[in-house]
Order: sequence, then C-alpha cells, then structure tokens
Amino acid sequence: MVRSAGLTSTRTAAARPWSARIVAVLGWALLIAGACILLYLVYALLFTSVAAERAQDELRTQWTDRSAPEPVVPASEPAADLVGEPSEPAPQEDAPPDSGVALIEFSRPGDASTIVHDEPLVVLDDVSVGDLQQGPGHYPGTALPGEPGNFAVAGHRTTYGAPFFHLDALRRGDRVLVTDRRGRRHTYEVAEQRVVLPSDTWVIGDDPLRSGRPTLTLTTCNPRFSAAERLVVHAELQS
Amino acid sequence: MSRTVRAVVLVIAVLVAVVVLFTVVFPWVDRQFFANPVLG
Repeated sequence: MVRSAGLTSTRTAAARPWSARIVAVLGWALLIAGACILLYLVYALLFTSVAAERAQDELRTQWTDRSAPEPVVPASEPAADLVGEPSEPAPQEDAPPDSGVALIEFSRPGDASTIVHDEPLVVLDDVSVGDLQQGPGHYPGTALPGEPGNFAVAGHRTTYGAPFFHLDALRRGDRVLVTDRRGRRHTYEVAEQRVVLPSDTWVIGDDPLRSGRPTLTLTTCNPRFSAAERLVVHAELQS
Repeated sequence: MSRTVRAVVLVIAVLVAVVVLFTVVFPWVDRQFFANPVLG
C-alpha cells in the first residue's frame, strides 16, 4: 500500500511540467529565505543581546571585586598620597586580559536620569569581534584613560546589548566618567558629535580636536542598523 | 531509508544549519551591513 502510494507520488512528480517544478522550487526558496530572515531577527534582537548583557554583568562583577579593596581617588591626586607612604603606582596593564581597561558612565549636569546606558559599561581591551560581542572595546594603540592622547572606544549601536544605542543623545557639556584599572576616576566633558565615513580613522588619532588636551572618542555605527557611517563623540578631559 | 532515520537526519541537518547561521553567517552579515562600530 505504502509502496504503491510512493510510486504514484514519484510518477506524479516526474510527470509535472517544468513550470510547476520551477514554482515549487521558488516556493521552497522563499520559505527558506523567510525562515532565515526570521532567524536573523531572533539572532540580532534577542540572542546577541542576551549573551552580551550576561557578559557585561560578569565583567561588572569582576571589575567590582577587583577594585573593591582600592579607594577611588580623583585623577589629580596620586594614589600614594592617600596611604601616606611612597609607593610605585601599579601599572594599568596589571589587570588580567578580558577583564576590561575601564568603566564608563554617562551623566548630564543637573539631570538625575541616566543617558546613553542605564548601567556602567566595562570597556574591553580590544575592538576584536569577540571583545565587541561583550561590550565596548578600546582601540589598541590609543591612549588609556586619563593619559595624554586620545582614549578611543568603539561600541555596538544595535545588537550585542547595543551599549551605544543612545550615543546620539550626548550633547555638549554632558559628562563621561571613566574609571581606570587603578580605580582613578576621570571626568570627560562632551565637546563634539559628528558623523564620518568608516575610513575616517583620523578621528581616533592623538588629538582629533586639536586642543592639545587628553581626549575621549566614542565610535559606533550610524544610522542605526547600518554600517554605512560612524557616529563619533569627542570629549575632553576635565579632571 | 526508513522514515525515522530520515526524520533524524533532517533534524540534525536543520540544527547544523542553524548553528552555522548563528555562528558564522549572521555575525558576518551583521559586521558587513548592519552593525560595525569600528573605524578603518
């Protein structure tokens, strides 16, 4: 019974005209394409964000655990002054890899509400694909927080937790608080926002504002859900 | 090939396809067209 049904089905398929076969193949292709698009949306809007937020939570915990015994001091005061005895400051490279080079927070003077991102963001050591899947990354070769030069950071605007989804909300005068590996806090003040091409690497150069002051540069994709341009925010070190 | 074996092969093929999509294809598509914050 089954065999005869199978034979009948095979004969029917063989007897199909070419046009019907093409329509059937096209139908399957469209179904598979639709499934892939749906899966991509699940990947982009859900899967990547869950993984990235989990990674950021772990990094924040590591960061807190590591910096807990050390006092947070303003950048202008040497750490040794607090304990009253001279000692060599620990180099910023002391932290284990993948634990982050800095913690960044955003604030607006006179406004208690959070801007850009609700939680502080741990900045990872590199801008490799793997690092950016966990959070913002530090462009290798650029300065570290508080140092002369340009501390340049890239972060996703969509997918992977979208840490810089609202980066365009930053306005001149907003503050970016950066805590380095030694627990020192540096305050940068937003000076400028611009949109550039992906090839415009000069914006992460040593002194993109030509002010001679230490600079923080944040980059992300622009417009949202497109890699056609980059949104860039420059901030200058205040303290 | 029995129906059961055919179903198992189909499920494995679909799972492999989904894993390849999520680990190779989608990240590449993402970087190329939708989400690349890095300059250069």
